[in-house]
Amino acid sequence: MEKIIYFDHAATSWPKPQSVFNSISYALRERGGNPGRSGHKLSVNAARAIYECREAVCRLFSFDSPERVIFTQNTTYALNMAVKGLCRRGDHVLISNFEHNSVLRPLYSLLAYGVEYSMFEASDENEEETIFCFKRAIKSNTKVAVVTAASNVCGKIMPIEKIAMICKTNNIKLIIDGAQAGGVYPFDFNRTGADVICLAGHKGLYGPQGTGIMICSHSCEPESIIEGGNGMMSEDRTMGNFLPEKLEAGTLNTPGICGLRAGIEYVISQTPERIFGTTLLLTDYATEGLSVIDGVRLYGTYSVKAPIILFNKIGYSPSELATYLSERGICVRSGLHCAPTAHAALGSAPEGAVRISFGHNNTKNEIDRFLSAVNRA
Amino acid sequence: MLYCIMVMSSVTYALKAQTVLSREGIGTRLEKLTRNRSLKGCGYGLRIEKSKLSEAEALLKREGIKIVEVIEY
Repeated sequence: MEKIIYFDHAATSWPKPQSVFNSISYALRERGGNPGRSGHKLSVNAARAIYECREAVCRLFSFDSPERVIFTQNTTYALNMAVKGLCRRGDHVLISNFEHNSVLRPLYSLLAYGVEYSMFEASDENEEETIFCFKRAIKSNTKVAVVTAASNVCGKIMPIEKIAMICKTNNIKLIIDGAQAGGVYPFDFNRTGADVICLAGHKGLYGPQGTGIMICSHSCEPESIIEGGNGMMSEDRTMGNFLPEKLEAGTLNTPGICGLRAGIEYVISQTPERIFGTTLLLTDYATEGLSVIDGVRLYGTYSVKAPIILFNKIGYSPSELATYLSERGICVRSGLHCAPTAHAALGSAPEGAVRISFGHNNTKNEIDRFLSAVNRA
Repeated sequence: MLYCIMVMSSVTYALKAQTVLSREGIGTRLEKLTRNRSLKGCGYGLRIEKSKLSEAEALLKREGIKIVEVIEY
């Protein structure tokens, strides 16, 4: 069988480092108790393993409080918890036009509860214009802003730090969708100035699917939107006031979180700087190669971006091209990538486009095979 | 040996406290507490030698880690 070329890291990274497999297997065998529920060895070991993962998250993102690292099923759950846990009736939420459905759909549902939203336009190249549009869209009742760190559609990196400064001045809580940023490029959570960041465990952090993270700054604590057992204060009708348990109802995914920790340790050992440097070179190389193929149209070609490329080829629908590539062992993703407004901004709506995205294990040789296949199509 | 239990807000805070104390050479044991009035139910505590309690309390205060209650035996 021909070797698979995996260019779909923005959906989920693959393959995972061997240490992730080992860690999950070890957790199932040796840390099989319910974390934070009992006093026996298996339960305490599980609780300790989870705490160690919180510490690893802090090390990677230069944060100082493991107890403010909350584990979720994925970024979507984290974003729902952050958005719905911070918004109240009458609030206005400001979002960019590059947001994923994990931001859009919670806001559509909140309309029924008296929470309104509006969208600011992120300029294609001009950062100052993006900032201007953000400022202009602030209303007197804007309480929350949600902005992606990097677009899942085209890799566009948003000026998060500048937006955070404006949010601070206007007493707006800033939630960052970091699904395409965590582990993909280096950043320091405190330096972003954000109140909450939501991350995927299974993308740039190389953990298994079913893992996500929400980090809450010291200035922000969303209310719980899911209630249940959390191993503490059983006679109380509430989830209590202590993070992370306040936002972690039910049994945690111990094997997944142990695998996530191994993935994070892998990223720390490789360094996000090196991973980003390598994948950015691959992105430039592939962009250059695509740009000289007849009939290829590229979208969102920024000089610095997350390692994602969006393109189409004349004569092919995005799904036809993705199928053609799949038949040649090349894994890509076509369509709207759950972000229809981003495609509208980039000019690739309503059909969408083909997305390729790189990870730690991709090579120039794989890109050459991919370019050759696109060329022959 | 005389010992006591420092009742912590949650298992996470208990583990954080244990990490801080361990770094300073103070050994503790994580214990499940079946029912505690201060916690309105079950929770976790750290068993510690009574002679080390004052030092531990000072260290945890410095780190901003709250001890909910100390149960002496």
